[in-house]
Amino acid sequence: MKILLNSVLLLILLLLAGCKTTVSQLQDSDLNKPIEKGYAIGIIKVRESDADSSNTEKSFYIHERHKRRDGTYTDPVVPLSSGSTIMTKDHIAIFKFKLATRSIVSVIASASHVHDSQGGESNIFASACGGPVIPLQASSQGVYYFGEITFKEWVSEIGELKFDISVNDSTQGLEASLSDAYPSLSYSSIKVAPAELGWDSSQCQPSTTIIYI
Amino acid sequence: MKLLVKVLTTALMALAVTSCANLSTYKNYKNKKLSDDLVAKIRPSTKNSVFTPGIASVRNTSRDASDKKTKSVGGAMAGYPVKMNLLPGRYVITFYCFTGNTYAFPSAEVVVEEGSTYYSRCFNAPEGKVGVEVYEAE
Repeated sequence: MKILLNSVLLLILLLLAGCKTTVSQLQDSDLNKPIEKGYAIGIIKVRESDADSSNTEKSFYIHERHKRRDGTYTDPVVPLSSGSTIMTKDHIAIFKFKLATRSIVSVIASASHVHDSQGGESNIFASACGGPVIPLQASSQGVYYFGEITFKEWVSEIGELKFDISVNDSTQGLEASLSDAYPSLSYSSIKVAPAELGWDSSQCQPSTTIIYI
Repeated sequence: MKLLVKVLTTALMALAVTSCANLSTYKNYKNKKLSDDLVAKIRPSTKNSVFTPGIASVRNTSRDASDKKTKSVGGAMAGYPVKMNLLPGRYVITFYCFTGNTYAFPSAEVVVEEGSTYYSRCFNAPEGKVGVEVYEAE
């Protein structure tokens, strides 16, 4: 009976550990506390407005993926529903994320424009069944700036709809735009790790069709 | 008796795997045994693509082709092969690009040479369309 009780407690603990979010949006008060072991702080800026990107706040869905030997990403580590969404505020997002290991990396699996006035979102990119991802490559604790990202979509000469990002990794003006909202952030210790586009090579299997005779 | 069952099961599995492997390459030349340097190989590529390219049909449009009819290759029930060997010439190939329950049938006209390997790759095109490219392996 005692073994059964211990097993149930262990199961609950494991479930709770599994449900713990690996990414979360941060407030300035969170920055006064030391960063948890195995986590880092990430900063992403999105280009406010240009020909390719509308002047909207963005939402990012962050999820853990396995990294393959060929450099692509595959198979969500945890169910797709257990990822986390972070939002930009004044076009900047500050969040806590899990450090990358040799085989598991937190990635931005999708991004959307958030249309406040219309109360909806429109997709920028998504990798539910494979597709582009933005890996958050950081293997040691610290504050990482992934740069100012511009999303681009264009049609290649063979008619392929291509997606890419361009990144401005200059930190000039970052402190000025953040210091009011995040005075506790130590701007001198920010590590610059320009974001790069990766590819999730997993593909969804077709669902089974049941025919009743 | 247990050993016999084990051996039989292994043999059956090996046979099944070999059969599947044979089915996966469609050879567009009947009753001929040809070496690799006499045929052109079409092989699938999923590089930076969310689709797997299957092959749905092929039509030989070469000037000297004796049969210019479209030949269906596989189908919804039997599945579609992803590899095909062809004799050199000009062909119109219709691909079955699929991911999950989404699929499309884009076509490509290709000229293939003996001894060469070509990759087929499906891609997203504007307005929700799907395209396919066939390119020679480097």
